Amino acid sequence: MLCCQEVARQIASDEFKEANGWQRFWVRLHLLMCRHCRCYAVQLHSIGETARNLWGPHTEDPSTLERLEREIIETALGHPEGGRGDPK
Amino acid sequence: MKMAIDDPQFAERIRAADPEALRAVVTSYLGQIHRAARSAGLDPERADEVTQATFTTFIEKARNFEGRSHVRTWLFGILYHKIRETRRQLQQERQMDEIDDAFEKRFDTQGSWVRPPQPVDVQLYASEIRELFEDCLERVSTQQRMAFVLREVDELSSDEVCKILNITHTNLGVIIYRVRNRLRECLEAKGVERK
Repeated sequence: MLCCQEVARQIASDEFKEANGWQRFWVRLHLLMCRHCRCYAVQLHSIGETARNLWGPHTEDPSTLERLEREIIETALGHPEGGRGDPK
Repeated sequence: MKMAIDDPQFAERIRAADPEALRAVVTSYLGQIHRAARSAGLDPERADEVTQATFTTFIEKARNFEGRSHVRTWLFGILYHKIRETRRQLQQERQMDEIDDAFEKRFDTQGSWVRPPQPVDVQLYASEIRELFEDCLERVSTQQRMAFVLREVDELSSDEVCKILNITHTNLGVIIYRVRNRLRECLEAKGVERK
């Protein structure tokens, strides 16, 4: 039987996600029985969700991207419709 | 556009510095690179500068692209170095391994919780945590932050993240484990818990 510390380590390091069937089974069984580890797993999941809410694709401002794209292409590739300058 | 980029022959066009191919890479990955730059804790102006510098370097070095890894992996590798340079200039790099001690102290010698995690208010997480989260991430090194964002937000495979950061799978596991625990401890310390 896995101890709490080992379960927490496997969840936090992504080892659980990439584990084989039996390893996952033991972690899941532990989570069923241990409310503290369940709480820990939910918190890590919430942290991931918060990061996706902060920086996911929906958070991008289209006008900023358009400006950046124009600037990069004009600066590094020369005129938008023309060829690029010589490489350094 | 993505289909063309994933095509092995596309690497040839990049190496030949074909302007159309280079422009396609800029268009396809600008959003993803810019988000990663923002999530690295840079202010909006610096995130824009780092994004521009990443694509400028990519275009300048296009002739060196060997096509051994995906062009996105190459771009993220350039971005990672640019962010490290910028943050080093800002003197924000710190060693943060004391999180291991904080984690260990939560368990007894049998590995059972001595100080179990406090229940978290998930609604609070969703709506009001932005500033706290940003603040907690300020304490995390560039490498930890990039590893976390590439795995959690961009959902890249661990293989790709290892290539971008030039680390082993074991290192990646330790880094991800540390940054998640650091964030969790920090948020708990700031009182983000169910009343």
